[in-house]
Amino acid sequence: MRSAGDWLTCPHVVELLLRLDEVVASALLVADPETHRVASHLVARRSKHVRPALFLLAAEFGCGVETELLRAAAALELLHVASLYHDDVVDRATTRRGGTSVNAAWTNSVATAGGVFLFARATALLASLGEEVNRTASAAVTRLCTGQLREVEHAYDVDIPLEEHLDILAGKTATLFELPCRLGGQLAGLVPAQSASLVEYARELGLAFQLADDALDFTGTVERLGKTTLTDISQGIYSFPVIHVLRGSGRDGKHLRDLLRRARLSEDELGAIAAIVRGSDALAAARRQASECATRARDALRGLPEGPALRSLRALAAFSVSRSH
Amino acid sequence: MGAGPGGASAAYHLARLGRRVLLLDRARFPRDKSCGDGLTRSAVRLLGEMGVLERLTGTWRIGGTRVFMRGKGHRDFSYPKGLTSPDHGLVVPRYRLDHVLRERAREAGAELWDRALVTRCLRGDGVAGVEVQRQGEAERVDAPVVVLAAGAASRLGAEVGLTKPADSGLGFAIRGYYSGVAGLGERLEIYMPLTDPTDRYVLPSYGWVFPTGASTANIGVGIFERGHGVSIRALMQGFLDDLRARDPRFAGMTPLGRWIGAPLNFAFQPETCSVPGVVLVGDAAGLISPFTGEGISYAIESGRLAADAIHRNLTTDGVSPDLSDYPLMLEKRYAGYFEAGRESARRYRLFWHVLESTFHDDKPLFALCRRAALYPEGIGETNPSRILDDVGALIDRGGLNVREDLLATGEILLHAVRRDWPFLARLSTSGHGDPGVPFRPALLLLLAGAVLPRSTDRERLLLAAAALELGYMAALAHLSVDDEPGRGQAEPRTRPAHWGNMLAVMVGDFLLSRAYELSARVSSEVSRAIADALAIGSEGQLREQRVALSPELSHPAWLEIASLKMATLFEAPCRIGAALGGLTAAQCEALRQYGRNLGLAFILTDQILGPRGKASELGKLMISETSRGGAREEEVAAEAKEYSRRAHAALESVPVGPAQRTLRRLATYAVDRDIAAGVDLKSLVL
Repeated sequence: MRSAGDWLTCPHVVELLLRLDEVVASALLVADPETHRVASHLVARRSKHVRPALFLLAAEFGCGVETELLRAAAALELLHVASLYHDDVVDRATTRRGGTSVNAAWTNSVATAGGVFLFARATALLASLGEEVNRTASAAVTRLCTGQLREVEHAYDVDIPLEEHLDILAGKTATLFELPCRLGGQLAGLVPAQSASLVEYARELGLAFQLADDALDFTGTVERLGKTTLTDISQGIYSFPVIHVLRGSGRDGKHLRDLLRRARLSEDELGAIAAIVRGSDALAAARRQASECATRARDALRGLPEGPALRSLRALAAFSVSRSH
Repeated sequence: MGAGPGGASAAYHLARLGRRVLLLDRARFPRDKSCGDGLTRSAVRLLGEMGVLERLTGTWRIGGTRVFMRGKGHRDFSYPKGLTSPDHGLVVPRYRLDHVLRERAREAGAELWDRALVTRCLRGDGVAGVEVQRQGEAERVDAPVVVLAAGAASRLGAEVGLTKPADSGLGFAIRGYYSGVAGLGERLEIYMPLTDPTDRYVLPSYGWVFPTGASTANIGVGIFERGHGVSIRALMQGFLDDLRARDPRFAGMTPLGRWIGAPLNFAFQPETCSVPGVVLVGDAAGLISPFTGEGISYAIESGRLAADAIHRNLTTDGVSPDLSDYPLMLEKRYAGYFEAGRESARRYRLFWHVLESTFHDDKPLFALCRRAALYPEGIGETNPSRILDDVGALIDRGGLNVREDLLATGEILLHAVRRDWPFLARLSTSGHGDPGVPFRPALLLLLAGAVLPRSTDRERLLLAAAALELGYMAALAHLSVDDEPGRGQAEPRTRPAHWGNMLAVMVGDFLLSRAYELSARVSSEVSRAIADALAIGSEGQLREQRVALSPELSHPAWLEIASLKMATLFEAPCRIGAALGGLTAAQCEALRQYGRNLGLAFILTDQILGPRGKASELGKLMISETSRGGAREEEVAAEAKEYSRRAHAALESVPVGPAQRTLRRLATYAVDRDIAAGVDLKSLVL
């Protein structure tokens, strides 16, 4: 089995990432020890650092100031972690990054305030990197939050078109992939064409990750299905495979629709829903769509100079759809 | 065309303005109409303006609304007696109401053609009149403006390109009159949501019981979306059966006449309410509350707004007038009342879920949602301490434009949230009345920025003020997150969503992102200052969470936490305003000190006032009533005075002028809460 870090072979970025924890930690310094514990709960755990790595890889194509790059990388990681704090409150998740979630370890309000604290520290870092970076980041954050709101608005919407769903994913998921590349381009002074290629790569990469995850969530036995998958369904949040079945013609779609519209779903009904999705071509369709995104991501990299950074980005695109867990 | 409340109101107001008006309707009058017949207090006020209230004597008076939420009991929304005029609503059968309004329009000079079917609009440069079928003959009516007020089902709007495709915004309602209903009070009763006959599917629907007399009522149901596979008649029958079976008041009811139904159009979009020569009013414009089905007051009011716009824009050259200021008026008037656009139906559904699951939750966001949806006209008014927060009287009159600037800040704020969540703008406004000069972060920022007259780029100052307000609103939303006590580790995955938390987190994040975006438009320095304040505020909250359970919290520890939580409210606005206002570093620091001390004086005073129920709105929302740490009231009061004194002292190094004088008064106000302060409120011109 491949481990998450395998794709990152660019030595300079690997080396910079080793210094990331320190920068993140210094951004979280605060007098109150308990606040510090809450704020550090997740960053202290092992993380794949996909977003900071993406940012640093993008910056490899130009030339940036290392201290600035590290600050931006730390800000990106903090933004991501802040969004995890809040996601876990909304999703009632009890585990995260191989341990308890903040809301489970403390309370929902602690996780909410903790997320705001991380967000504030992240934006303070971003604001220290100049007007352009600050504006770019703020626009991305807005897109992210608007995407999340839109997703919630579609809760229990059995009529949602697939295109709308993908559009929401682009705002909600892909934004936090695009932003690192945008900022990498700005802070390392890339020419606009190169920046644009990297941003396009990142958008497709984000979608590929998400869609591949959505398909993975339905594999395994029904009893062991990703807990969040079925929780999401009973909370009216439908992923690509579910919507794919709903939009298809035929009995599956109608049957699923009928089940999903019930006021409150039982375990049996959830099991039946999972069985319908698994028995259909939806998972294959999600994987196909993910592969197409990954291919487009790779294609977007054409025109960028060959080198360790490019090789890592290509490997990341391949990795996004080759995971089995 | 259309002689219902909307058309009659437009006709009446136009005729009063001296315009020549022809009122057309295909019906033969008097006629009956499907409607709940409920007139809210706003509707009664509008009827008063048209001078028809004395013709409605003997109709049933309404003191408020009782909303029953399925499985969750009920809540009352009452019109406070005597606080406003009028202080009641009415229930008037449409048969009677429409007759009275039509007659009023005729008296004012409008000509009425009934049994006149408008078949099409005549086209000139814009719309230049209509063709009418009347007494078997087609007749051409030339007119520079056509007011389309023919209700939800009218196709004429679509003909001139005004209505959007009938997709999600169309529902249906049906009603009947019943006698033999016992013990109805002075309340409109609304039941939501209803389920299908198998009780398995919850439908986006509601039922109503509106008393028309001591033992008679208008009873009906409405559904907001089609395509649920349930007939409206079955839904109505289910509702009636339920009432009979569960509520003894309805055990003996008998129908009076047959049921009548009509479509509901709640797809309001301001920009599709006019083209040259045509305006839409009332139901035709989609002005129906998607929560309570109320539409009469909006019909009457939009009729009046249309009349104003037409009167203003009519020219004598025969060209179809440009009426594009009408949609703007609607947008301004109803911002946050009706969601606009194709997203609305979905958003309503989400809103419904939130309303249902937070029905008994009084946290600020949910109280606001509830009021916005169920009692929109009452926003702000039932809050007796609101007046305390209006510090308009303290504003120095020497050339400060604070009131104007606050309004402009509100506009920016509205604009920032309008496209996505217009109703959120109402977190920051207090209804339609004059909002006064609320004591809020934006006020401090604007004042600090106005210390040096004319040295500031006003636009940047307003943006920063709006950003800070959004940050404050985000905090209110986030504070509404619920801890779900008793929640175990083993979560059943069948558990339905916690809509309240979902909304609180998402809306809070959304507002925060918008705050960041606006601040970034000003400068990274402002982003930075807001970020710092937010970090301090959340630290305060985290510390408060920890000590919330410990009763032995000392007074100084309490004060420290409270002051952290208030960082975004006092210190940050003063600091940011001063920096944008071009003050020296030393003066900025002085204003920061001022803000900090002002905040401390303010919360200490709130701590004293709290137990007497007189704490400020700001304080009530932000400071939980934890311990007073054993400090005696006199000590706390003395402490507050001391901080107020320090705030005054900090202002000594700040240039004197109207802003500085106002800041001084606020430092005094923080402890004495005396807004009159020797100033006559009425005579105040800002």
